[in-house]
Amino acid sequence: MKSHLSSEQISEWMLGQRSARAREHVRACLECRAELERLEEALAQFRGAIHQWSGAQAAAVPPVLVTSRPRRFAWALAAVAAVLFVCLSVAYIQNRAAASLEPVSDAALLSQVRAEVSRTVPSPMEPLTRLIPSAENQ
Amino acid sequence: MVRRAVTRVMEQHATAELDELEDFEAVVQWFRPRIFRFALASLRDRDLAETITQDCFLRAYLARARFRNECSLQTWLMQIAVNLVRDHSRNRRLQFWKRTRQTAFDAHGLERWVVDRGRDPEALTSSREQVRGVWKAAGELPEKQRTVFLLRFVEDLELLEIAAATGMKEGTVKVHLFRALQAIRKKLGATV
Repeated sequence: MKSHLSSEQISEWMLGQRSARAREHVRACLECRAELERLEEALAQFRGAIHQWSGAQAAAVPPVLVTSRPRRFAWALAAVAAVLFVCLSVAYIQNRAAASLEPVSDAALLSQVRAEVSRTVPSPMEPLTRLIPSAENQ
Repeated sequence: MVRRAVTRVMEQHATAELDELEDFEAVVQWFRPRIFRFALASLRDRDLAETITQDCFLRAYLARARFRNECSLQTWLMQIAVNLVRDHSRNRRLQFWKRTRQTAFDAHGLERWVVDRGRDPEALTSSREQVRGVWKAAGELPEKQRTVFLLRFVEDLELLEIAAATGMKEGTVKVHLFRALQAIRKKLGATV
C-alpha cells in the first residue's frame, strides 16, 4: 500500500463518485476503509439528528398559513366586520349624546355656585334674615 | 435509493397537481417539512425558520403561474428557500441583537437528538460526539459551503439539483462540497 486516498478522493467517495481504483484501494486498505466508515456514520447520525430535531420543532409551531382557498371565510369575516361597525357606531353615537348633555349640567352647576357665593349669611340662617328689617325688605 | 425513488414519485404527483388551486395545500403539506428543516439547519432558529418557510410558500403560491416544470418542484421551492435564507443571513450580520433570541438553538444541543437504537452507552456517546463535531464544523463553514453541505447531506439532493437550487455550476457545487467535507473531517479528527 503506497499511499492512502487523498482528501479529494474521500470527498468523491462521499458524493457517490467511486472509481474502480478507489474501490480496490478501500478493499485493501483498512485505514481508509475505517476513515470512510467513520465519516459515513458521522454524517448519517448528523442527518438523523437534524431530522429528529426539525420534526420536534415543526410540531411546536402552528401550520403554514398559506391556503388554497383564501376566500373561504370571506363572508364570515365580512359579517363580523359589519357587526363590529354597527356596535362601534352605536357606541360613538351614545358618546356624542352624552357629551351634548354636559354643557347643560355645567351651566346648572355654575348657577348653583353663584347662588351660594352671593349669600350674605349661611343658608340655615336665611329664615332669620327675613325677621330683621332691612332696607331691602322694606 | 428506495427513499429517493419514493420521493420522486410523490414529487411528480405533487407537481402534476400544482396547476390546480385546491392542491397547493397538498404541495405545502408535502414539502413543508423539508423547507422548514433546511431553514432551521441553516439559521438555527425555530421562529426564523418558520417565517422563512411561510414566506417561501407564499412566494411560490404567488409565482405558481411562472413555474414551467423546467426543474423539479422540490428544486424550485428549495431555490426560493435558499434565496430567502441567504438574504436573511446577510441582513442578520448587521443585527447582533438577534443572536440573543430566545428561539435561537443552543449550538451544543443537537447531539441530544441522536437516535438511540438500543446501542451501548459507549457507542451512543461516540455518535453524539461525532454529531456535535459535525454540527460545530457546519456552523463555522462559509455560507455557500454550509448551504451545499446541508442540501447534500441532510436533504439528499443530487449535485445537479443543488446547482439548480443555488444557481451555481455543478463544478462549483462540488468544490464547495469538497471544502466542506475537508473542514468536517478536520473537526472530527481525520485519521488518513
